[in-house]
Amino acid sequence: MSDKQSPITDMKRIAAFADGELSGQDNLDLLEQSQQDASAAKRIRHQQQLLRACRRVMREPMGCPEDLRQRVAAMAEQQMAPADHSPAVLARIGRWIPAAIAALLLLAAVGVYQSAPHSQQATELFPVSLVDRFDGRHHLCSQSISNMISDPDLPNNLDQLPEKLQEKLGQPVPGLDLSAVGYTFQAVGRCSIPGDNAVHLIYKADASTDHEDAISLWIRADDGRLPIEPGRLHASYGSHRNEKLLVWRHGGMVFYLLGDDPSQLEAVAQAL
Amino acid sequence: MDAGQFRELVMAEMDAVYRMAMHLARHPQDAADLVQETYLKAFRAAHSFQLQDGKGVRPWLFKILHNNFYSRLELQRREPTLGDDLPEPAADSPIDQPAPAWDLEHLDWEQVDDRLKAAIDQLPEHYRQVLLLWAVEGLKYREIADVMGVALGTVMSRLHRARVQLSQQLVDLAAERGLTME
Repeated sequence: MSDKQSPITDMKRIAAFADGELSGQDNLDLLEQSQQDASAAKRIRHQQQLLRACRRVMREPMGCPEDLRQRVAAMAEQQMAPADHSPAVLARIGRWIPAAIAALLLLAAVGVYQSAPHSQQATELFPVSLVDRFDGRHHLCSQSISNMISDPDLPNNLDQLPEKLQEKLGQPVPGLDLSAVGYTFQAVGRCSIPGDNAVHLIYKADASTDHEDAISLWIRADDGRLPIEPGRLHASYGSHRNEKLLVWRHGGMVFYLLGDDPSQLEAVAQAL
Repeated sequence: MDAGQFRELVMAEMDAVYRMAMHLARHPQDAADLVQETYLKAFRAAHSFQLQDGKGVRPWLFKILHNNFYSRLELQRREPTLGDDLPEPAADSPIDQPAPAWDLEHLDWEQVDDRLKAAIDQLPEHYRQVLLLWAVEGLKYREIADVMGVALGTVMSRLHRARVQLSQQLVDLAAERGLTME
């Protein structure tokens, strides 16, 4: 096959193969060619090395400045807030006002009922809106893994992941296998929550359990600014009070855990 | 996808969008302006965004960023960059010689990095952008073509030429260090 092609076309095919862009028969043909032709194999290896070198050189730390991030966040509030105040819309809303008032009274009653026990159980570290953001990200990513922000440096393989996390976060992160408590690792990605250079891991309950929930674990390097004692679990709650975020510091890392079923979290945290 | 989820997705890409803006604009203030324009357009077009399996929001944001950047360039009437409507160089042109093959592990990485950085900075803008989308952001050829509004073959050609240019720099470096090339 390659005999019929110019050297340049052949080089493009080799590069496409090295990049994982060939499919089907083309892929098999080139695989065979690389086994028979040492020069082709060497060129493939060269392309892969060049990719890694380019990635390393061009991905030098260049995070978005915090003030720009805040300006864009403010823009999001402004641009995405509901803006339709036409009479027809107000009339439609108006019909629901009595029901809304009744719902608010009910929520207030539930809030009063629930506030007493929670205030004794946990000191809430994070504002409700932040826990809601964790919860939103958890649902988005656990419903479809493709929503995770992939990172070529983070392998979806628990055997290789600790070493890569050590390179990324600067500390070893052992014990990420949660199969002992019934959860199977699904995927890992970068995440802007709880801050730059954090990683997000998704686990799902396995067949050995009688539940089908997912949990999210975020890990970031401990910069010492979070006011919690090492090794102690802290809980914070979202706007509906059933979104529970557990946070703890351990081994130079901060861990954030949230799941579909809050009752499972303590056991998972202990396993970690 | 509701507005909150959309917002989460696009905000999570700010580092990548800023990095790309910096590579394009090469100046922090220009990059910040580009990022703000990109996000403003993204928020206004949120209703038209459809999340597809296996593709996040990043290629869509890059496409807006790319269009913004080149619209600005056009407005500023800058010199056009090397385009793909230029004739394909002759086969024996040095830029289209097959890339040399050798093991980069024989080179000193610090020197490789310095030489690569300089070589990447010297690449024509279209090549540099393809290289960034491919190497750093991990986009597939098809996604790069979509972001840049060019044909798949054009992406492959630009990437090939960028690789050849970078490889040539490493050949020079290796020769300076007395390493044998094939």
